[in-house]
Amino acid sequence: MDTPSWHRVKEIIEAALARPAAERAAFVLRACGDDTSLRTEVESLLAAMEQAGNFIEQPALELMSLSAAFPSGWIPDLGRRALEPGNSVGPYTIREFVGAGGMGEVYRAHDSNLNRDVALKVRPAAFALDADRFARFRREAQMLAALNHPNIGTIYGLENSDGVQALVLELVEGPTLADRIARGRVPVSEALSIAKQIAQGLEAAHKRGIIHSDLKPANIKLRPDGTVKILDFGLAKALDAVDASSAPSDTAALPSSSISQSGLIFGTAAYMSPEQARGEAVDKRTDIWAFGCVLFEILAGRPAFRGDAVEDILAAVLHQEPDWSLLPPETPAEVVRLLHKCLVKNADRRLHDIAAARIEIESAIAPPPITIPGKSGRRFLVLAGVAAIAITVAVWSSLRPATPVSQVSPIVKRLEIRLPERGPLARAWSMPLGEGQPSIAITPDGTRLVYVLERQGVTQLYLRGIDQLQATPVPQTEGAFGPFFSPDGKWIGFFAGNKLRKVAVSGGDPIDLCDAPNPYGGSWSTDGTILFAPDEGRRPALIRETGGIPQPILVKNSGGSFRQPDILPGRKAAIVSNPLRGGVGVLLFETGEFRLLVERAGGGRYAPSGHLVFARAGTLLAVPFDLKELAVTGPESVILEGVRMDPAGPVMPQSVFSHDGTLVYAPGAFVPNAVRPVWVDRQGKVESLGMPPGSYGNFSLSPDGRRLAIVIANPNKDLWVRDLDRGTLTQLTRGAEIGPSRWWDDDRVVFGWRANPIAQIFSVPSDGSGKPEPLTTQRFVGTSLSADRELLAGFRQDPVTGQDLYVLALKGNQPPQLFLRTRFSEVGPHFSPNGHWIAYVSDESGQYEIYVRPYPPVPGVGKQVSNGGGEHIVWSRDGKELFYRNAQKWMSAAVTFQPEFKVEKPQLLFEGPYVMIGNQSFDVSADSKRFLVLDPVEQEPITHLNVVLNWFEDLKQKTMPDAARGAR
Amino acid sequence: MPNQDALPARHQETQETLAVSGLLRAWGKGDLKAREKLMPLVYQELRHRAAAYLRRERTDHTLQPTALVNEAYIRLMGQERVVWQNRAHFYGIAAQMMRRILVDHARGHGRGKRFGGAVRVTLDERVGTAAPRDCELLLLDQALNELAVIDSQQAQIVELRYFGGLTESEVANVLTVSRSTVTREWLIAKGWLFRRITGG
Repeated sequence: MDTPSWHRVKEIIEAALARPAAERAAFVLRACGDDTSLRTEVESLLAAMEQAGNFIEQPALELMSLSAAFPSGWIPDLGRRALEPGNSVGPYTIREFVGAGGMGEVYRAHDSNLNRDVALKVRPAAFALDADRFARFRREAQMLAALNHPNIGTIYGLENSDGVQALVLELVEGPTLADRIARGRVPVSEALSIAKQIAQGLEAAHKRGIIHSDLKPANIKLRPDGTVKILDFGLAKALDAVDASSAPSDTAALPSSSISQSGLIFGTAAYMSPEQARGEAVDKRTDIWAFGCVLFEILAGRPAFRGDAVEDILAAVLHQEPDWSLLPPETPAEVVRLLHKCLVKNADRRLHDIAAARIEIESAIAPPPITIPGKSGRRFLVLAGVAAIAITVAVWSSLRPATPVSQVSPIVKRLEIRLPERGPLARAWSMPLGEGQPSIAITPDGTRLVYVLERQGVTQLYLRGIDQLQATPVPQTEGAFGPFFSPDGKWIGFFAGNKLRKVAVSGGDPIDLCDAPNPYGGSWSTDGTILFAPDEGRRPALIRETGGIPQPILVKNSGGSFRQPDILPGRKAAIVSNPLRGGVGVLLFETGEFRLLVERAGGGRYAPSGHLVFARAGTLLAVPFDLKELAVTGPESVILEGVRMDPAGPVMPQSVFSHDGTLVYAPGAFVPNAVRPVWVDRQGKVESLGMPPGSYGNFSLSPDGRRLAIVIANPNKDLWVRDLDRGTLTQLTRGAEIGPSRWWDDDRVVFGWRANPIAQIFSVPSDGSGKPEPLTTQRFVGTSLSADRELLAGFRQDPVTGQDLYVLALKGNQPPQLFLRTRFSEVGPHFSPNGHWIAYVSDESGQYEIYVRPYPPVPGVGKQVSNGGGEHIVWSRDGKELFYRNAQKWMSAAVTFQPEFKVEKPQLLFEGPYVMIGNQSFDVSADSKRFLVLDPVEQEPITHLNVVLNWFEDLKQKTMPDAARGAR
Repeated sequence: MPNQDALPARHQETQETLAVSGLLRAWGKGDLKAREKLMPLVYQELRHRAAAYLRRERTDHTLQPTALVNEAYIRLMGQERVVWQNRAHFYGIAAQMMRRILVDHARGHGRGKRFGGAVRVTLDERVGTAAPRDCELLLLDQALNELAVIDSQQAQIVELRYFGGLTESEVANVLTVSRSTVTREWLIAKGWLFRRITGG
């Protein structure tokens, strides 16, 4: 049982590594003698080292940036991809990467034999099957391939060539069911149509004795024509059988390998049947369970069994009932009954035949939907809740002083508060790369407002009666942020100088309450305690309003960040935003339990109208919320769009509301990562192009300088042309992933298209009058065209030497020719206007610098242009200057070619925080007098706030079920 | 002081440049206090840069930590020529700081995934969540802390390579060990972490 010493483990591993691979197992056996725990550890670690493959080989930041660049798509794993577009596997040519799943990476590929596109599922090299196991897997796959049904994705076969093992599958277009559910509520009728088709597919397979054993929304595709296709039928089981049955039996076996291999195959705890979770044998009833889970999730919009970690999910599968109240009230009764029958934990008492499920669903689809009996009961509870709240509101109303505002009848009214122009609303930051803090607070009775303004980088609290015209600064609150009011409205709690402080509304010095490093919000309860979230919300604590020692709340299942607390009436729990645990939830003080209420949300706050109000990407939403059960009791509704949030933290709104329904918010569009193209001249003077902030990327100016080809990500990266004189915008591509572009002449734009069908160079008329046409059949994306339009320069990734430079002749259909290869990265080549030189970027000195070499290459001839860093090259049209960027400096180097190539010392053009999106968001006007760059839209200062009186009326109206609203 | 973070870093330039080179020199001579003082300066600068990269800058090739660290270095050091030893020190700190920045970033973005305890992550689960790498990064961070307890040098190598983006020979320079040692230790550390994270 004792743990072997690390020193000894390492010693043996190092010695083993020094030996040929074939001898290692025997060596380990010898070296460990009869110390079995040592041997187990050494073997396990050696196996892990082998499996680790490319794990963490690519530095973290590169991966993070990649994911930020492609937020909607699949995000790369810690390792690199196995294949690149253009690679061949047997008769298949890889076209693009589609995604990754438990059994490996999936690519779209073209089958040259049958001239059709297929999906290739490539097994990770680390888990490649040996010949014997591969043969056995082939037999399994052949059986599965015989399965032919319109609701099942067909397996065409297996491929084992070019060192790649891959399954060849029917390519099914369209989103997965998981995507569809994530997008929003699936209407019941659509849900039933999907479920019926899933049942039909399962039925056909079960008749042949094949079970899926890994059915889940991510394995179900919805084709645009409405057909539902189940993918990966039987594969999990087949692979697992092959893996498990052939574990080597000799003593040198690596015990961890087969275990973790099956762990890698089975992975979806939320849809595992109880018998599967216990590791018992499975049969078709396991599919029926999973079918129940899937149907539940389509209807309810969230999984039947949930948890923060795999073991929590498994515990829920084994021991908990799904929350039946999540099913929409209009779910037909027979479907609810069917779900109950599918989700019986004991397989013997579960529905045995998927045909029975199909029949139930068909009969539910046929007659008009019948509402379930329990519905009226729930409605009553909601009403009771509203009544209770009405009383609370009455109490609040009686407490509040009479002001003109309070006399307003419950008609929604909107007004505006102007903030001083020189002191916009502060957007204080807390997290290192983090999210802004709310800078507005309102008293519970809605009579006073406090906001944080920022002057010359220093924040300060400003107090304003809702009936006053002016706000007054609160003395000694410099550096304050995150304000909140006491329940009686007489005190303001806030953070400054790593402390939690309070200051009386009536005046006086602020009082320190306690230390609060990196706080994330506070909430003041009617019992005289304050809940606050120091340490970025990781240690929520309660403190008396008079000060003292904070009492930390011991949070169960630690891990999470409990931000922007809002203590609930009753003072036993608080609504908190917890991005780490998925959204807004409720934190119970006594047990430390955190329950997630709404996902992908922040800024949650309880509204006495009986709702939980929260924010998501510039929008305020609400769900009915049961204060007693601390549970969400109905669907989400959008209440208000256009609320300011920080682009980096799209869930934290600048909005507050009082208990009587006065909403105050900072209006504004939510534009993530917005930039705008601007001209900058040699004096650094900035001139707008008049284009609105947006997600712009690579661009280039036309030869006549009057038009701009620019990529706009919305959400695809399509190419547009902006006429700079007329200010019009013409779309040239649709649904594309466009890379850098160049103008062929004034009438055509040349661009690299990364996605569909493959990375290639196209050209398109610049006036939108025609479709893109490939310029060449070579799969090569260049960044620079030679002046004679014969050559295209670009770079390619090499696994050994990194990025290398290539030049492609556009005529003659020859593959690109290598221009420069070193062990360093060379990127961004640009032909000089006379075509005899190529300027490029290389990191050979340890940082990126600009170099110039002759074209065609002359060994040993070349010059360094920049000094102290440089990237992103643009030549002046006359070829006399090279422009480039060095961090926030934009530089110019004068060059002469005759009698010999000479570079002057680079001069500063201008300085600025301009950014590069793509490789080519820098260009120069034809006269070299001004430069086009992307200016990050530092968010517009918040100069006014909107006020909505009696906002709860709006809230109630918008959260009413359709029927009750009388809309139909 | 969180709200100070709102200040654009370019407003606070000159004193820092002086401070950093002085501190690096002092540290080079063995003054460990200088290292402590250096940390927040480097952190702030790197954070500023990392934020710019992660928020908007989406170049296809410059998203390399070394470039980022280089830029930070140049800005902090100004035009001063520095001996390699100092540079190595700097990279050491920078890698550590990058780790903190990226992990904090991942924390802010991670969702629905607990990273404490022995969580067994399967590939499917990772791909299925909205931000798999954030979770992985947090898992890795924690596993790396555990590795540091049993083998601090291996943990340092991972920090420099994975978070600092240094090549093997740069790591060897920073740690003043041979390159083959780095290669060997990296392989073992990688296996150890992989096993820890996949729960094998």
